[in-house]
Amino acid sequence: MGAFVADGYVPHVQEQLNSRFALGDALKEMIEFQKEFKLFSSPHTLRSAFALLNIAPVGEKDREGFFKYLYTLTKMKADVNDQPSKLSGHDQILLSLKENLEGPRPLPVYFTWHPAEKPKGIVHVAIDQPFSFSSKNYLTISVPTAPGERPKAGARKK
Amino acid sequence: MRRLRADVRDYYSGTIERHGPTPRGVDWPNAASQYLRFVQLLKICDFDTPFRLNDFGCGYGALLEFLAMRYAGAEIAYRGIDISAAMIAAARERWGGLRDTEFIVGSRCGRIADYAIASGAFNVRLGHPPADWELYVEAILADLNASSRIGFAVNFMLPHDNKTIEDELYRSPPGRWVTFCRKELGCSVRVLRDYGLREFTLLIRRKPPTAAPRRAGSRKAARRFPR
Repeated sequence: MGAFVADGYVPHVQEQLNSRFALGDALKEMIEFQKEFKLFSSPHTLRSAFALLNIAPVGEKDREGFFKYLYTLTKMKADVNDQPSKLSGHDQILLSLKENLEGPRPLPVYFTWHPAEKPKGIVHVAIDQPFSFSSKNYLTISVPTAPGERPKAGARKK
Repeated sequence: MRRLRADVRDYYSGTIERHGPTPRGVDWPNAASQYLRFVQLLKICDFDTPFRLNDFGCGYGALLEFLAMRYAGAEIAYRGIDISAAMIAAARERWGGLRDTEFIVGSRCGRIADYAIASGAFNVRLGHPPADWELYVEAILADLNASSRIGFAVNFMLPHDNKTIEDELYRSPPGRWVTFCRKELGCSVRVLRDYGLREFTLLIRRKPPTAAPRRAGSRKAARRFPR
C-alpha cells in the first residue's frame, strides 16, 4: 500500500481489519451484517463495505489513499489456495468473504500483505493457519504491497 | 437526577464535537452496527400504514438516513428528541427542511406518537451508581410508554461473560427490564437477542384498554327496548 497509505498507518489498518473478523463477538457481528445488509455482495464494493465498518486510516489523505488502493485491486489478479481465479483481486476478496460469512462454519479472517509480484500484484486467498502459536484455521487474505514515495505517517496534515 | 442528566448531556455534546455527525459522534463504532440496531428496534413499527415516530436520544438523526435507505416509501411523521443541544443543532443542520420532521432539545418526548424508539440511550452511565442509573432508565421508559400510542422499542447492552461491569457503562440481563415493563408499565414485551451484537432489544407494546364491564341489567334493558 506504500504509495497510497503512509507506512505507519498500514499496520493500523491491518489491525482494524483483523479485529473486525476475529473469532468471537466480532465474527458473530460480521455474520449478522452479511445476513442483514449483504455487505460483501454486489452492488457493494470493498470501499463501501469498509466505509460502513469504519475501517480506514484516520487521516483524510490516507483514508482516500486506502480507498484508492482498494480500487487498484480491481486491476489485479487473484488466486485461491494457489489456483488462479477468474476474478479480479477485488472481486475475489468480496466473494471469499461472502462465501465464508454465509457458509455453515464461518472462519475468522486474517488479513496480511506480501511483496507485490511483477508486473502486477496478485491477491492470495487461502484457508491457512497463519499463527505458529495456534492450530486454528483462518481464511487468509494477502494483498500485494510495494514501497512508495510517500511521507511518513504523522508528517502530513490529517 | 438533574446532575445525571447534565452529565449525559455534556458527554454527548463532547462526542459530537469531537467526531462530528458520524456514528462515532454518537458513540457507535461504525454505521453497520448502528443500522443493525435500527433493524431490531424498527420491528415495533408497522410500515404498511403511516405513523408518527418519536426517536428518543436521536443524536444527529442517523435513523432518518436508515429510514430513507430501507423504507423510502414509508409515511412517517418524525420527531427526534435529544438532551444535547449540540446534537440537535447537528441534526437540524443535516435534516432541516425535511417534510414531517422536527427535532427538539429535551429529556421527554413531549408529544404522543404511535411508536417510539431509543437506541443506546441507556448504555453510558458515566460512573453513576447503578441504582441511580436504573431510576433514570425507569423514568425514560415511563415517558416512552406515556407518549406511545401503540408501543416502543429500546436496547440494552448484555453483561460480558466472566467480566466485571465497566464503571462507565450500564449492562443488564433482560429480566430486570422485562419485569419492569410488564409489571410497572402493564405492557407486553418481546425480547430480541442473538442478532450479532452483545445486547438485546425489547419490543414493548401497550396493552389495549380492557372493555368496561357491562352493568347489570344492561342486557335486560336491551331486550326491553329492541331495535
